[in-house]
Amino acid sequence: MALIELRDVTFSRGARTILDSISFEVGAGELVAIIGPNGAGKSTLLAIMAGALTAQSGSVFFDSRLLGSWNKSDIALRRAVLVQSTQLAFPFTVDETLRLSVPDKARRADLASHCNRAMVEAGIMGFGPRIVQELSGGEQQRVHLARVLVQLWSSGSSLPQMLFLDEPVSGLDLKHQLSTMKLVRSLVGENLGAIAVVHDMNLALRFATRVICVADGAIASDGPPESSLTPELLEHVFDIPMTKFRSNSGAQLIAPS
Amino acid sequence: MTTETLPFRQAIRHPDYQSRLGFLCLALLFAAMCAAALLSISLGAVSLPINEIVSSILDHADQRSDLIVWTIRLPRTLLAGVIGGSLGLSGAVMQGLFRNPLADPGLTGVSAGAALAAVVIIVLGQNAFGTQANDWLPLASFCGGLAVTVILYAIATSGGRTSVTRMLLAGIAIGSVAGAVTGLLIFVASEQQLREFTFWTLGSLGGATWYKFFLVGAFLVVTVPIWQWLARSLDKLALGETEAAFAGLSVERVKVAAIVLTALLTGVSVSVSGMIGFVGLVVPHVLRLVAGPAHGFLLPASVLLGATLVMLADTFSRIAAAPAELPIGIVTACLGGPLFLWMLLRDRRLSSGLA
Repeated sequence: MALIELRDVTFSRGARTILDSISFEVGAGELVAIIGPNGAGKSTLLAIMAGALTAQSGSVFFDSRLLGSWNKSDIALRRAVLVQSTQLAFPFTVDETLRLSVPDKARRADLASHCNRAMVEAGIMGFGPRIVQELSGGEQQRVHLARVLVQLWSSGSSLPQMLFLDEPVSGLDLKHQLSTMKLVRSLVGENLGAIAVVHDMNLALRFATRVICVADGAIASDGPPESSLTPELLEHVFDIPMTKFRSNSGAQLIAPS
Repeated sequence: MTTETLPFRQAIRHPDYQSRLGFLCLALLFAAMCAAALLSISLGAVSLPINEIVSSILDHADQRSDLIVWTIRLPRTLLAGVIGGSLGLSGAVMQGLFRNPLADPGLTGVSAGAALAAVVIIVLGQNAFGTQANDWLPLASFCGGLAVTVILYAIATSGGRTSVTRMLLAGIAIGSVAGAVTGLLIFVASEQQLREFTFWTLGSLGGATWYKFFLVGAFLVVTVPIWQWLARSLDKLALGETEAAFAGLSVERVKVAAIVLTALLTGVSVSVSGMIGFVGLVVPHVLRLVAGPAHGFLLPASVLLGATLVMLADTFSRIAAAPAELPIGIVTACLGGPLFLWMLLRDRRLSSGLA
């Protein structure tokens, strides 16, 4: 069952077409990585799916209903969005920040345990009383990841949910890049689907269940990582020669050759 | 969760203790406000001991102190309280709305618009209709403040979205135009009009009446449900407008409510007491430093501390140069200006938040 569905979505700014007739659907159980060169329209695509931007033509459906017909507080129970960088206006603590996105309609009952679990999963245990702005960029990003997880968990919704992540690992060190992707992959299941814009093809290859490659506002490929991420395609999209090889441990890797 | 003792500043923000300690703090602030009120009633041209005040309030014991308490001091003290509460609240709400700890009704031109309307009535109205034009002063300055807010909102809103940056910049522009027109009117004003005008620019609670107290107090009380609802919403808004919307907030609705609320409270306050600066700026600041930025605590605490501060400032303005009275705006500016500078220098995060 598709949770989010795009039909012929076209988006332009002025005379420039950023997305040209994009169609695909994503359901629970999927971790879709969106890759592509800078300016290909990845973040715009994510913003349209999240409802922050409205496409000029085409339609977006969330759970079979037009995205625009969803009430903001209702859809907040069903999907959460992690943007590239969130700037808090005031010096909130981590404890306070985790509770900021909890929807008004959400059940407050198990909030403390949800917050605890999110802190463990995001690797920020013991950060509770610290001021978010005083943390490093990577730590802040993990706080906000934990925050959107709390938003989803506290909704009390038994219906499938969706997580949108715009470059969730861009400011993170290697260890946390891996742990974050691993976490998202482990959460994805019958009640959760995720779509993440990522730059690192090897993370996409390793953790995604499906890769959508966007180039020049159109979908260049869409499918399972192994078949979607071919050196030929990437050479064409990124305009640099690429090689695919296996590491000693047997993992598939892609690198510029 | 933990049994170790936390320092107060951490404990009041700890999820397990937040609501209880916050409540305790509000109770302490309320007690401080009551103490300030007693002090304000007791001090002045004639000093009244506390027991005389209490007996006068309770059973109208002595005619002389009765007169002082009921017709002079009490309305003035209470008016100072509700004005201070309104100013503190407007400041806190506006800072939350603009996501900027330096926002203030003075900054967005709302106070300037209210003062301009007052000057127009004083200078032009008196020339046309004589001194009875002054009866229209409160209404005029209230309309002036509201007009600036509406203009601001019209300029800053396009396609259903309000740009806070545009609004802030437009506010500065409108404020300076209002200031210039005010200056021009002062230039053509008579001696007597000039004196009256001082009241509007520097603020005074000298004309306090029970009617004024009930007017401002009614606005403050009637809007309680709005700011209760605003508290949680303003917390979310701290994430940014887009992220707040992702978290389920109807951002536009919050903005409209916050704008109307601050325009009302500021307009009504300026209309009865003139411009009293720095309260809206300093009060939420101090509270944020002590107990964090959560608006559920910040908004009611700003009302209480704002009330306390203005009552004390008014008391000081009455006794510092007795029997003459200092304009209260001078007192709050002398207190608030240096305090504000000190906070700017002390807290670098705050100044970087300006960018």
